[in-house]
Formats: sequence, structure tokens, C-alpha cells
Amino acid sequence: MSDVVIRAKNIGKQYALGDGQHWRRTVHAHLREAFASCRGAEETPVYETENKLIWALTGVSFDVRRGEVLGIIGRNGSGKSTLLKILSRITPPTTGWADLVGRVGSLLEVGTGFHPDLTGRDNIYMNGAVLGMTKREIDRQFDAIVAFSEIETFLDTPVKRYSSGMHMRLAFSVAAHLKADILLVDEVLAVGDAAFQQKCLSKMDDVSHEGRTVLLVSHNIASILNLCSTALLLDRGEVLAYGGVRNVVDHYLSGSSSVQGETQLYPQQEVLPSQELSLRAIRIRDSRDCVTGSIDVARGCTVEVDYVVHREIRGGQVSLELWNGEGVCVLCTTDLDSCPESRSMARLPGLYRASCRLEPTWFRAGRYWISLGASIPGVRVLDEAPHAISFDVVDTGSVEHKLAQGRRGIIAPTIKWNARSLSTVNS
Amino acid sequence: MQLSMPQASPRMAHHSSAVMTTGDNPDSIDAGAFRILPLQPVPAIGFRDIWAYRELLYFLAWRDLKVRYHQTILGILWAVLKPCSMVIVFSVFFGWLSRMPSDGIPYPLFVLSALLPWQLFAHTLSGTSHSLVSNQHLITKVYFPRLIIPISAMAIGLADFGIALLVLVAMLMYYHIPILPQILAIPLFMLLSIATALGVGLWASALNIRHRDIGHALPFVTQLWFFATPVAYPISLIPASWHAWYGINPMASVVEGFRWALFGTGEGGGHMLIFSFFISLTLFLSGLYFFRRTEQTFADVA
Repeated sequence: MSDVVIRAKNIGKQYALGDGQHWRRTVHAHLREAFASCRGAEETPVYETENKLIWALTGVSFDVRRGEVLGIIGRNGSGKSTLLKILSRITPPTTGWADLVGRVGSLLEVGTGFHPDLTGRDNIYMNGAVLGMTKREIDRQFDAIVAFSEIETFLDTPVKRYSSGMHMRLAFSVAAHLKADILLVDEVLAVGDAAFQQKCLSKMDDVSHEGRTVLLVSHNIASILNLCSTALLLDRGEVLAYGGVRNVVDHYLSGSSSVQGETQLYPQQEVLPSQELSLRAIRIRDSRDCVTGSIDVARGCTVEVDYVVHREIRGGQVSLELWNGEGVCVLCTTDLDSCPESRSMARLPGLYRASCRLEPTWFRAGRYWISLGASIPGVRVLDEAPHAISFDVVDTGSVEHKLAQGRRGIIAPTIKWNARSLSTVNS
Repeated sequence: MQLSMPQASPRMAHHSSAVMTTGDNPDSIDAGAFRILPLQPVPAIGFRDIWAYRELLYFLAWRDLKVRYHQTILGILWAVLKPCSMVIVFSVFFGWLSRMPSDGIPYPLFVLSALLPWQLFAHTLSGTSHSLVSNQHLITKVYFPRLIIPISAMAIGLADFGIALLVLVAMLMYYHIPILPQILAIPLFMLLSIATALGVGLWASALNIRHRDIGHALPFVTQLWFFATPVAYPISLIPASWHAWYGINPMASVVEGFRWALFGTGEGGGHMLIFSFFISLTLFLSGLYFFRRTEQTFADVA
């Protein structure tokens, strides 16, 4: 028998869609019906149908050995957090089972149990207790926690007076000192300034070297590659790949996951008879012209849009919006930008392919979305495809971008600077 | 072959119903492993699990108390002012204006002796029934025995009771009321009050997390309950043949019991108390069962 400390077998989790309050709507329906019959009016009874059930996870099985750091990756909604919640015993699975050996610490969020009116000192105890530490353990680690958080001077101030950075540093410090044989960590590194993030990453690295087992859910491919030895790729609740971290990440990035680098927007028959233009497909090509869902931060990419003009239109434009993973619109561009004189030009019926190049130096690493639109500006919308495609910009570790990652701003362009001497000082 | 794993901590070895030891399972990785399983139909109470998390229980109660009178000028004085002001209001309206009979006891003392257990009940009930909803950020993020939350929510009611007790003692001395031997029965009546409140509170909190209607209905129900309890009026206003039936409301027995223990009025026990005891026990046990039965899905419905 080996050193397996986590074994999950055939784990599945079913959720009911909707607000789970069909009772309420049933009561409403009955009342409305009763009211209608009082007035003598005919009204079709509205009975709530059974809530729709979906499987958030199906047949997930894996083993984790002691000291292993397993990364769990996948798109939003692929079931990563659900899996972690099941292993943390917050919610029971619908099928299957899992065995865990040793003390489990789960960090689904930092600062759970923080109370705004309590002081930093009190909250260290509160948060520690919530995470499962005993008072004696917290006493023992108290100085280390305070030192790590760098908030000594504010220890007796209520945390509601803290800046968000201080709040987060204190919260992470408690979490980082949690002693557990198995740590379940969900995206907590996605917060804080770059310097503190770095500190946390190295702390996490210490953790795995101490022989503790870590399960880490993250969107940050760079930190997964950095910290994990093995990885599990989830897609729509199923395990798509499981094994060495490099292979799984490649699998995730290369398009066998849902980030495929190409989206077909409409089946032919769904076009309305009145429609003048319909968007057909969007794809991302890397610098070697291959369709891909992941872009090297140093190389940039080309966005290609296929659309069909059904009837002749004048003054139309095709536009795209680039959104980053935080939901911020990075830029918006249209095919008329570079040649405004073509505004009055007619587009004759037929299939078109438009493309534009997105410059590499703009991007920071992370997930991006593109929303497509076609319209006659100020007149009418011709077609829309919100969140038509997503792609990842991956930090491959080129020197200049490593530098840029520590900076603020939603884009990280390389801008030319000049400096010249205006006078010299004689010392 | 046994693994040389570090000793599992006590809180992991003793766990709630959803988890059982896996020593006899062929797939098990270790005899000391704990197992996560789908919803279990009949849960145990899980005393050992609660015991293992007693420090969290203490911290949650401590947090509630510490935050209670935070950023107030009068601070803990509020716990004294509230029962005092209620005694004044009741004494003016019922004792003085309506000349409510009070079994020969000075009216302010008569009403305070009942307000004390009533407030214990009402605070415990409202505290426990809202506890899950106000702590849902914990429930959806961390595991611990869920019973910890309503239990820790009783701290405020108990603390306020303790402070109001000092007011009562001061008034007993002011009116030169002699101390009777049956005063030793007070803790038992407190227990009856807490068991009733916790029983209803467990039902209400577990229902409230799914249907917030409970939270809206409860203050109203508590108000009705208050008038169904002989706090402002003596039970002697009710025909004696009905007294036993009055025991359906355990709080009536508690209030009568308090007055009996303090002033020697009434009988303090009898059929009414026996009736109340069983009602209260039923409420408590069924509440506990319902809570344990539904707690596994709290995180999904919160």
C-alpha cells in the first residue's frame, strides 16, 4: 500500500437549478387561481414544475499522495470549487465517497469569520478558531502571524478601519499559519499586491516542502505550474485530464478543453428572415497562424471573424470588445476604425472574413473574453454575440513581461522613453 | 499494511454522521481515515464532534458578547436598563393604571420575576433562530458541527439574564422579601425555559435558512406567546380547572415556577409542570433531530 492520503471515488454532485423555492411560487399560483375563480374568471392554473437538476460533478476519482501538491484547473463552472467544498465537508456529494487521512484545513476564502467590529488581535483568534486551530496553537503562532501580516501597529484597531490590503494581509497570515496535514486551497492567491502575493506563494511552497498535501484550485496557470507537481483538469464536472502538471496544463491550453480558439456562432437555419447580417464564427490565431485558445504574452495574436451579409447594407460595422478576467472592458475596436471613409460603402451579400491583430505588449497574463457585435452605428444592431470566445494569455516568462507583471494597470504596454541631460551639477 | 501517518487529530477522528471510519472497507486507504459520504438518512447527535469544536463554540459566543454593546456609550448598562425600563412601563400601565392583581406581591417585583425567564426565553429564541442566516458566510466556507452556531447564540440571552438577575436581587432586598428554600429550583426552571427556546430555535433556524419567512413570522409569534404567558397578569385570573392545560405553554410553567421559587405563591409544580416538561422535551428532541437531519444541506440552500 502506498502513501495515499486522499482517495476520491466516483464523486458526483447534483444541484437544483433555480432558487429552490418552488413552494413559494406554488403558493402564489394557488392564490392567483383562487382569486381568479372568485371573480369567476377563467385562468389557467400555473403549477411549478420540478426544479431542473444539473450535475455539477460526475464520476470524479483520484488519489493524492502525501506531500503532493495537486492543482485543479478548468473553466468557470467546471466544478472545481464544488469538488473542494465536498472534500471540505461543507456539502455532501450526491454519489461516491472520499477518504482523507489526517487533519484537513480548508481555505476556500481568506478571512472567514472576520468581524468588522473586532480588533485585528481578536480577529486572529476568531479566524484561527473558524479554521480549526485551537487557542493554544494560535497563542503559539501569534507573533509569527502578526509579523507575516506586517500590521503590528494596527493590532488593536477594529478591522473595519483597515485598508483592504491590510485586511487581506491579516487574513492570509492566519491562513498561512494553519497547521494541517491536508490543505484545500481555493483561489486565495488571487488577491493582494504583487509583493505580498509573492510572499504568499513562497509560503505555500514552504508548506508543500514540509510534507503537507495541498489541493489548489486556481485560474492562474503560472502559479499552478510553479507550485504543483500534478494537476486535474475538470470540464463540465468531468475529469478531462489527470497527471503530471505540465501535461495537464498543456492539455488545458492546447484546446482540448473548451478554450478552443474557435467558436461557431450560429447554425445556418437559425438566421431570421429579416436579418441583414449574421455573425458566423470567431477564431484566435497565434503568431504562427495556428488556431489556439492560448496566446504567448510575448507574441500577440490575430482575431478572425466570419460573417454573412444576407442583404445589401450601408454604413454597417463589425466591432469587438475585449474583456479581461476581472470583467473590465480592455478595449473596443471596429472594422471602420482604420478606414472611416468606407462608412458609406455598401456591403454586398456574401460571406466575409475580417481579421485584426492584437499587439502582444498590450496584454497582461490571464483570461480574456471577446464580445462581438455588428451594427449600423446610431441606427440599429444587426447581430450580437456576447462572450463569443475566450482565450488565455500565458506568461511564458520572458524577462520584460516578468517585469511588467508587478505593475498596476489593465494593460502592460512597452512604451518608449527618452531621457536627456538638461544640465550638469558640479560637485 | 498500516501506514505510518501522523495521528489524526481528535476532531477528525470523531466526526459527524456524514463521515464514518473506514476500517472494514476494502478500498479504504487507512484505518484512521475519515470518509465523506452522500446524505445520511438518520443522523446521530454528534456530541463528541461538538466537544472537539468546543473552542470554536467559545469563540463564537465571545464574539457575539464582545460585539453586542460595541460602539455604545452606555455599554453593558443597556443590559440593566432594558429590564428596568420594561418594569417601569408595565408597573405604570398594568400595576398602577389598570390595578392588575399580583397575588399580593409588589407589582414591579411581580413583573420582573416573570420578565427575567421570559427575556431569557425570547433572547435565546430570536438568537438561535437567526443564527444560521447571520452566520451563513461561515457555513458556506468552513466545516464544523453546525449545532455550534445555535448553541453559541444562546450566550447573549444567558449574559443578559445574569445581569438582570442582579437587578432582581437588588429589588428583593429593597422590598425585604425573605429567601425561601425553593429558590434552589430556579436553575431547573431556567433549564426548562432554555430547552423550550432551543427546541423552537432549532426548528426555526433550520427552516429559516431555506425559507426566510420564518424570520419574519417569528417576532409576531413571540409577541403572541408573550401574552399567552402570565408575565403581566397572575395565573389566578385564569380558572383553576384550566391551569393544567395552560401547561401546553411551557413558559407559563416557567414563569409560575419562578414566582413560586421566589415568593412561595401558587404551587410551582403539579400537572401543569409535568405537561410542560413533556412538551418542552418533545420540542427540544424533535428540533435537534430536524436540525441534524437538514444540516448537511445548509451550505446548498443558504
